[in-house]
Amino acid sequence: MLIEQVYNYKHFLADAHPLVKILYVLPAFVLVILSENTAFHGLVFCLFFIASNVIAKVGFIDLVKIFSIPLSFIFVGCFTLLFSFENSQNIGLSLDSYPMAIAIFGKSMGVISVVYFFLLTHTISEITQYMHACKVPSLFIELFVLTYKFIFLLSHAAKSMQIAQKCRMGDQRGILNSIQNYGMLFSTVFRHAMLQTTQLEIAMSARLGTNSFVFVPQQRTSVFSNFFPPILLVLVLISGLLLL
Amino acid sequence: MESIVCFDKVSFSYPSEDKALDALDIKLPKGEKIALLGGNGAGKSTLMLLLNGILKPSTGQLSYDGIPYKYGTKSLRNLRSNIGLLFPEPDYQLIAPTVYEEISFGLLNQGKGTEEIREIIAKVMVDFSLEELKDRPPHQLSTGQKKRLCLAAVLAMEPELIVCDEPAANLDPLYAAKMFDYLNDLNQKGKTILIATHDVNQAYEWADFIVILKEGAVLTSGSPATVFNCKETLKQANLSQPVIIEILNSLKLEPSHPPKDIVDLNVLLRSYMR
Repeated sequence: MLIEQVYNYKHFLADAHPLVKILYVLPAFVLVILSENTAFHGLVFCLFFIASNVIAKVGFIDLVKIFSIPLSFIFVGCFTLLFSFENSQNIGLSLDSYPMAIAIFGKSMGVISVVYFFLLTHTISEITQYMHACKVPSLFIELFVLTYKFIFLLSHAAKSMQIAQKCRMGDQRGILNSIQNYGMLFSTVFRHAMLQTTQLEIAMSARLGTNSFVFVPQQRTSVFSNFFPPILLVLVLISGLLLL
Repeated sequence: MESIVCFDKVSFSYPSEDKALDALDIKLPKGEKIALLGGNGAGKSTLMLLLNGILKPSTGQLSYDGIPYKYGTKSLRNLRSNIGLLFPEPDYQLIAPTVYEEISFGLLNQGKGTEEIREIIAKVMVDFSLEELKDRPPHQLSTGQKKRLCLAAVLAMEPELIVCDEPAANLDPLYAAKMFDYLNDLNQKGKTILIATHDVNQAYEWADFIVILKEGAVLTSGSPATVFNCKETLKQANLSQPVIIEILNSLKLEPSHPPKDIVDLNVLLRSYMR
């Protein structure tokens, strides 16, 4: 499941200034990275999971689904840390590695909850604004925007072509033929991408475009009171870190 | 009749093909609704790209408002500010990460200031009912919404001539009607509209001036009643007569003002029945 599929464009921070939005996530992100306190990581995870549900207005089931993908990787990674290999004869679970596995698991889940909240409350254009503010080279930002656009265009094209192949029973002629069909699918999608790039260039030229992707972002206003909730959150996190 | 764009013996060939346009002579009347018809490969899309200065004719010349086209950077900027191009496939036209920014793209390229751009976007979003979608990525919109956004993005640049390649392609009848309503409103405001279409019924009902292309040349042009009355010419261009004309012909009726749509036809038939 993609973030885009669960993104709610009418979330509580939709009209907030990007500076206010980033205040919700940046301090939490830094604190989680710097802290080694697993209980604090748990607190951050709970807070941001609830915030993703309440503030970002993403349903509980959808949240569980999007968290389950990184969770499965992290769980497997941390579980392997518990294994010990002694003299290449005794292989088993070791309690010595247990604290490390738990710490890594907690920190990873804390970071992921913060990153998900960031993604669920920011549009791509706001992320590019941060990139501009961080003086990321414009070429990299344009590549970021183009990659984002083409991921969806090409995945849509690939899905349509795959359905067309299946309709002609392209997947029912043995494994070898299936591999051949997938090869043809990839080459067609690649050709499609080349064609789309040419069309995109023409469309950009028709609107006086050069080769740069420059846009005017939406103007967001912020008043001083908008900063209170994120500051309160930071205070809660710092208190939590000190108390736990 | 004053013309907005004039094609003077314009020919164009793609590197790998025969001539796409062959000594094309045509004057597009200013302030009119023009429909460009023709079978597949007749040269409609090539003509549209030539209009916007995307392609340069191999021979011949185009002129806008009596001034010959020049293909320098500054001249093309002026030309493309005056001639807006709407593509049949919206996904190829939409490039920005959000709807709001999509509208800003052409305006920014025109060299307008940020505040002026924001004012224009605010107005255009209201005109095209896009306010609710302003934060959405264009690729997530429905086809009708995408088409509306494409038109809004082009019209924000306030071109004098709006060129639409298959404006109703992939749209259901409701959204197709809405699209033509937008185009009619623009025409009422004095803009010249040119559409390329295969739909003879739509062209007959909507357009003031018809151009039919065949193998890169003008087969015939003129008022819808005149052009669509000649069955043989239409057949040469792989086109059929509009249903209303067919009905009139089958009933052997020759009114002085042929009806444009079903409502007019109904009125006419009732008057004959009396």
